[in-house]
Amino acid sequence: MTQPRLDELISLRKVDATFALPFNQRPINDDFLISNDLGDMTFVTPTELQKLAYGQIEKTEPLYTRLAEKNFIAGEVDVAAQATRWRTKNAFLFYGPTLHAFVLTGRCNFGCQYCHSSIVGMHRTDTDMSIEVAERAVDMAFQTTSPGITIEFQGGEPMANWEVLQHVVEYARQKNALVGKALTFSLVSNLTLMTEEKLDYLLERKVQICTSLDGPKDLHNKYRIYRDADGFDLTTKWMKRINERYVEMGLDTNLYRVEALPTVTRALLERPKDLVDTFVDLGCRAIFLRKLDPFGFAARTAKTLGYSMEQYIDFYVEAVDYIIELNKQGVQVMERNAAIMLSKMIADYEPNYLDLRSPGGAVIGQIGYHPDGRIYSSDEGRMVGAMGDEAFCIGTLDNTYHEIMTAASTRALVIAGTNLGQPDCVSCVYRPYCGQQPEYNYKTQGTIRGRMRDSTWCRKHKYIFDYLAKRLHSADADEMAMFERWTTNRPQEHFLQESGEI
Amino acid sequence: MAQHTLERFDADSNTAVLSLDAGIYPLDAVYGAAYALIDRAYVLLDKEARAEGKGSRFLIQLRGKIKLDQAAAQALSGEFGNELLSQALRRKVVKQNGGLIEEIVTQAIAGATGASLPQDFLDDDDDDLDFLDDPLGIAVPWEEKFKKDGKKNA
Repeated sequence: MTQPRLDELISLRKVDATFALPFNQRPINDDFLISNDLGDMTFVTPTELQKLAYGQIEKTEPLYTRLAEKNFIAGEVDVAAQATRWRTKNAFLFYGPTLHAFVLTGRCNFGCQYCHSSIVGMHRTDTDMSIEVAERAVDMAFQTTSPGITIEFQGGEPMANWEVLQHVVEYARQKNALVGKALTFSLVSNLTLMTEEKLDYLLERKVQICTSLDGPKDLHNKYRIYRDADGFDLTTKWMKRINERYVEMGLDTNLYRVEALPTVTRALLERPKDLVDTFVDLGCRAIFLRKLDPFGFAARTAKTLGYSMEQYIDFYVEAVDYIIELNKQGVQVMERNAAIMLSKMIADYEPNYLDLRSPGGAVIGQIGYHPDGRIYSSDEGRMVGAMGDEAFCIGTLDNTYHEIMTAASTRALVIAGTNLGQPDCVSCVYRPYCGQQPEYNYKTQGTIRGRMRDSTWCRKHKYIFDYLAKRLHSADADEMAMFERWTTNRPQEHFLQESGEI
Repeated sequence: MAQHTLERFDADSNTAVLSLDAGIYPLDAVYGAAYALIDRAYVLLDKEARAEGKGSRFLIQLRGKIKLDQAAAQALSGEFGNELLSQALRRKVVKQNGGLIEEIVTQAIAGATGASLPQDFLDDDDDDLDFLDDPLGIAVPWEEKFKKDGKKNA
């Protein structure tokens, strides 16, 4: 059946602009998905959409009740309750950056062909962050008005600068004993420099550990080149070991596992099920199907590793269809993009994922700290910097926190990252759930605002939203229960540093 | 006539020249669209008066940074047109939603800098505070505080 045409369905002359709260629409299967600025969404038939637009729904009709409950009928909206709801979902507007990415070194012992971070060889200790810079970066991070701080150790391979990593943990814990913020640490590592002694320290200090895993062993080792050993075996050995230690510590294994992130390369496009199976076999509960970034080496190797957005989406759909199939067989695994989007669409929950919120997270949600003290809008911003373009360098540690937050560049990025300022976004049904990344726009289209109509960022997210909307539209009770389970947000409280604890 | 046209392409100078009715698009949109191409072309903007009553046209000269052929010049021209429309439409949208965007951005930056009043301050209902208390005597009028004792001066 063909999708209904809006211009044949609704005559502008007959629209009652006072009946419905402003909403956007998009054809999904044979019906329409509608959403409003408050983030409510529902499906309506073409006839129901026409009645809503014309204001021709009687109060006694079940449709009226259904649309009123979802805040689509202007006269039924409880303004005070919705204002509170809006403030809760947009709480990130009321405080500063939560995520502080510390690039501890440019050194790495891997030679990943798509590396986003433009790494250097292990002998280049001159690219390490010093203790002095690290302390000043922690001082800067603690000036955020956010009640929570996550210090994320990035690289290169951050464990190559182990001494400074430990120092940051100890110094931040000391500061937090006085300040009492919700402090967490996160390590993004290939795990090859891990030892039992270092693991003892990381577990003792409650540092969350994340790694990269590109799926099947042959592909992982082909694109994540490691000369000293079998990289896949080494990384997965430590993943299993860390998970064992979590069990020994009595942590809930549903919640506490090493988070592994794949990067989708061209060769992986043919093997979505192999990727999912590899993660499931390792006990992973979440898979984040990340597309190649336009940053770092990936920008240069795109001709050999890259692919079109349509190819990525075909891969994504096949992988998530398979994940759903596995769930029906009792395997607990989810896809991370889908979980984030579903949280916003059906759970009315804002997970504060910095790339999918409006305004985006550049500066006001995250800051990237370069080893030499430069401060970037984000991890992606410093990746652009590593490519020789300082467009996203907001300042240095010689600046004050206030100067960084009020810099002209910051303001420009916040404006660029606001969906209400984008021509296509303002009229998109997915606007309440979507967001911008000015750094991506800049690298792919030459301006921080980008043009959503031919942006691969927009296409990717719109495709995934469409895929999810279609699945929701046709979901049975079991599938809905599964999607709702994916949106369950259980905080990993174990990783919170206790205030007053030194 | 189309809203923008690839007037000519000169393979020798690797240059495409586009023309554009100056009455349709705001100059800022033309600047913005031209700027979006500067990674691919050297850009020169000019304006050409036409016969009386016919207004004027912008001329956009794009000299490719890499070798262009006719198809590439057409593609660059199309890219310019798309960006131009996007810039113009964005201006319109921002004008329409400008107040709301400004409020959101201001709140976001104020929140990040701590410029807004903390909620616990607003919610403070400490009964011990009495704003009529004046332990330093700052509310006492100057004349009263420093008045000379009339009786003594008398």
